[in-house]
Amino acid sequence: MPDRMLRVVIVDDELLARQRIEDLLAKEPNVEIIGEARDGNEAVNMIRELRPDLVFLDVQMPGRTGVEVAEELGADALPATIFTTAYERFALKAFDVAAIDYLVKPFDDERFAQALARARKAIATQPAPKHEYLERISVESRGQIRVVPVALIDYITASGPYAELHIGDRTFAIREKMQTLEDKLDPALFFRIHRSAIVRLDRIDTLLHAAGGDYAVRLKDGTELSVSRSRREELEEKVGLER
Amino acid sequence: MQINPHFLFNTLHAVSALVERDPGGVRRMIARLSELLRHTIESHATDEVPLRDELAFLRRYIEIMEIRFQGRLRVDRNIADDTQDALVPNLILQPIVENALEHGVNRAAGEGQIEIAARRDGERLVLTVRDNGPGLDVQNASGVGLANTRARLEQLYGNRASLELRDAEGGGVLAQITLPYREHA
Repeated sequence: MPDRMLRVVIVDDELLARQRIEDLLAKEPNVEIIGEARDGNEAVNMIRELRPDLVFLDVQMPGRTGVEVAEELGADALPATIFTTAYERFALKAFDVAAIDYLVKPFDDERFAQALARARKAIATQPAPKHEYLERISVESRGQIRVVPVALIDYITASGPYAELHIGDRTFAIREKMQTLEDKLDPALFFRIHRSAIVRLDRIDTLLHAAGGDYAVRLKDGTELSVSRSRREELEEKVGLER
Repeated sequence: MQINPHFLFNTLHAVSALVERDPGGVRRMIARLSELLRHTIESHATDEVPLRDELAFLRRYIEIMEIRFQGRLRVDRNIADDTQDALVPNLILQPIVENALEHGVNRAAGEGQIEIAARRDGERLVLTVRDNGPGLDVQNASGVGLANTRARLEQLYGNRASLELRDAEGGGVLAQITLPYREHA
């Protein structure tokens, strides 16, 4: 399997030190340098904002040191990190904050490649970044914008190019396409049963088989919605039905 | 003088970074670095040198740093003619300039500037190094990194010499060394 694209931030106060890493990364496939920071404070903000996969972090910088950057971000917000240091005395401390590796300046191309390979391996075994699903949808209701928690939605139906949310006995038109909603909603909770309908799985009461192979669901409030032939099998899996 | 290991290894790292981009610059850096190392290896026994020699040494150090700063550093010199023969402690200025680069120039917005000046004030020689960084409040205000320099001045001249750091008018830090004016007998 090809390596996945690595999004990298380089942090060093010295231009030539940043260039050294840029030049080495330019020879590597599937690497994108998404930011460079010149000091510790800039680094903290950039890492928080860009959420890179990998950071090359210089230890000795004016203001906040690389180790202080790592401590400020904390274990949860700190991406895979390779410390770079001109002076080995600081390297041991760097390992206390869970570095993937550290490079002592000056380093040769082979040692750099080794550190990068180590980082790729560590990143590949990390759980895939958690997808952020939609938690709230804003709807217009009687000229006001209301924010509706996704957890309240029973089902969604197509309405022209857009959609309608069904919550209890109320209906809200929203300017979102069915496809967009399907992509943004947590698939553990919602399922698109038809081109024209998405249902919340735990609102389903009965799977209905009609003569002629037609298929539908009845929701707990009594609403019946058609299920596409092509989606039927996946729906049965989602509700735990063995075939 | 003890060569600062950070200076040495960061300079070698800069050399490594420039190998493909600027081979001529690399050779200049290696030459200057060798001169610095030779000087520090050979001169440990000398206590005092004429200011002109001290400045010649400093020029090599600054040339290396100018390459490392890649156009972001400007150094101005303002050396009065009647100070060239004055005796100063060997290698006294380099740590001051290094401090100004690290805490001043490195944090300056835009181009970093340093002004090195020497003047005679009656029986005293006054050496100053000024940077255009953020000033004393956010940097190493007590100049702890310069403790060795203070100790050396004290050892050579007792209370007739001093090193002071203060905020410069118009921004940055001014480091001032004052010592008795003397020439070789």
